[in-house]
Amino acid sequence: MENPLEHFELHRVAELHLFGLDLSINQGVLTMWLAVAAVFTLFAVAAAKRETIPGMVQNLAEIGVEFIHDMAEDNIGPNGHRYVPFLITLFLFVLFLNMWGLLPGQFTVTSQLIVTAALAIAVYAISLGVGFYKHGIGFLRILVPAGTPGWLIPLMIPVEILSQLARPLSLAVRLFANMTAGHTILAVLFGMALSLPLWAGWLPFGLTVVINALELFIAFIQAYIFVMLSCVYFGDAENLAH
Amino acid sequence: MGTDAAALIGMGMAAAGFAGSGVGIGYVFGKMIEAVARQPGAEARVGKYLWIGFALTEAIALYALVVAFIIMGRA
Amino acid sequence: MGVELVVATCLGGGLGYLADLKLGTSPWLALLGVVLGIAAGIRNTLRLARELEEAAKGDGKPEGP
Repeated sequence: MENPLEHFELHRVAELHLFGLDLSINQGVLTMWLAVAAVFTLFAVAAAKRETIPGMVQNLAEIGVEFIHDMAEDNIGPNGHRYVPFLITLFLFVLFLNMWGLLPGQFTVTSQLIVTAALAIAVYAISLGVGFYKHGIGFLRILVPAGTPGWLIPLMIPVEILSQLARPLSLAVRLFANMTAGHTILAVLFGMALSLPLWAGWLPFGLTVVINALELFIAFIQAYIFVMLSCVYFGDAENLAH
Repeated sequence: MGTDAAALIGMGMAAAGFAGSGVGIGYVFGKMIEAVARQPGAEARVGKYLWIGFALTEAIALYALVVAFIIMGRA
Repeated sequence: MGVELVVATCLGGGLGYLADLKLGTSPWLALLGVVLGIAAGIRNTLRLARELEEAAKGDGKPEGP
């Protein structure tokens, strides 16, 4: 049985070297371009006609937008509607990338820590930017929640700084770990199904069917959790309510 | 026994720590379902403790994973 | 959600370990970092649980007696 981690390796499709950096196009880049094209096409088709009684594609897009819109308004409050374009793009992007890897032979982009870290850092940078823009330097007040006695404050500040820094990191690691673990389990089971003789090989194969269904579910849940936690962090930055 | 073999065995044994966490998470959610079945109005208040319990239990599993990674890194 | 606790702990421990290497006071700073990380992780988890409940309750019925 070959190394189950092997299918996470990237292979270059086209070489491209610019300014001394290695910008070669590999499968991951192609998949991300495909995700962008798919999301864009979905909304381009859905918004093309703008009928009052929506057709099928427009209905689908409206369900998605309303879902994210409600979540944003629940967590961020009245300013939530400003974040909805970013959030729905993020949700559909992550969902597409999560699910794409379940197709045979395709590469799961979100199982690379650098991709999830980039997304998480983008989200956290936006929350910091909004916080400092809206509240000025007083944004640092979130480090000290209301009602702590005075002598506890010097101890609270490093703890709060750590918990703030841990947020984007945990966002990235959660998505990365879930995706990597899921796809590794699938790879191991498939390898086992192939290398065992026929009379025993159907058992791991049956398990792959079940776990594939589980992976679809987890892909959706992880995309939802990623976007919901982004909403919570944006809400924390908007209202200093801790 | 070579270092590689010992590292692999160590990682496997560390990863076996997930068993307790699996039992724990099932227990936490089972108790939550039971509590909501007895008194549906208490769902909002008990639900808060559900997520805290789940997070702490899963953290133990992830500590086991971190130990496995440390063993992998050292050998 | 359990990832929050572990990530905060490892972050605290990692930062403490790096500070140890620079200042040479091993292993006390790493230990302090791990303790702070656990505290930060628990704070994050509790705060997240509280906010999730408030968000879920916001469109449910008001809390009973």
